[in-house]
Amino acid sequence: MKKILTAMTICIAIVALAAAFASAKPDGLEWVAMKFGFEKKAADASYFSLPMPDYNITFIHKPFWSTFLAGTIGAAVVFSLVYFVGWVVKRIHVNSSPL
Amino acid sequence: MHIPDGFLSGPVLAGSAALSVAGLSLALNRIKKNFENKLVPTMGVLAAFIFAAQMFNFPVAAGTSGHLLGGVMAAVILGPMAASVILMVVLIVQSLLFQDGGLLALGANVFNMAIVGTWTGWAIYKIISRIFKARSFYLSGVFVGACASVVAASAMCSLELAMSGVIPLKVGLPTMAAVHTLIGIGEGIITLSVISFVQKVKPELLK
Repeated sequence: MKKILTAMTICIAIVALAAAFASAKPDGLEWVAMKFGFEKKAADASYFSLPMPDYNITFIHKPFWSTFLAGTIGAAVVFSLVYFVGWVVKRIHVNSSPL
Repeated sequence: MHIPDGFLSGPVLAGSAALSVAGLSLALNRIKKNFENKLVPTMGVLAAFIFAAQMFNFPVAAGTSGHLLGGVMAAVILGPMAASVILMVVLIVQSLLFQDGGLLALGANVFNMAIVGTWTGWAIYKIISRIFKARSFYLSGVFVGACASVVAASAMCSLELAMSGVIPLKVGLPTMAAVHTLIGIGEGIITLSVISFVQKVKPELLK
């Protein structure tokens, strides 16, 4: 348990560093898209309103805290989702084993 | 290289999604024992780590940035199947919660990064690190495999873009591959650092 908390603290520290120092330059694909003029094809995907578009919490106005909180929530969700996937797989496995 | 919605055509989206489902089903089937062992916390932590690290874009040449993919890093620690599952979880959260990567394009992104990139990089790592038993071969395998994972994922992405009629392969592939080779060097350095550290602190790595 303690190891998990230590590791998750490291993750949150990385989120903080990302929120403070991450480069805002376009990533590889975005850069290629802009270079060849197809970046505008990216739809404003508003199929449903996403809670934290682009790692920002809309009602927090300080960019560092907005990104940091979004990232921390994301890390927690990712961690939990792994457990959830594990639970689902275990259920399917147990239910289909020939006992 | 999270593909947003609007780039890829319907058939390409559907095809890559189908391949992702197939690949991930295989991976989940192979690792179901993981979930009964004590490996779930490790998987959870690695997933969170990769998610956090992917937020940290580092500048790469003038005008672009890159970030860690993490597939080979996870594969060296937990094997390629678990690595795919971890990457899949990260990509799902990124798309659904943060709009990083399209919703319809999720299948393509999972296929490119969690499957093609991860498994290609892992295979290369295995080949190189098995040539000789020296530690230098192991480490160079980690580095080259990690770099290759990024390039492979970007190549598959170029193929999808070409099949969608967005940019011809003979233009898109060299450009994507060139940019992502630079990003791949960053991936190699980060992966190597993490693996070296884990090796010293807790050498329960998959060799």
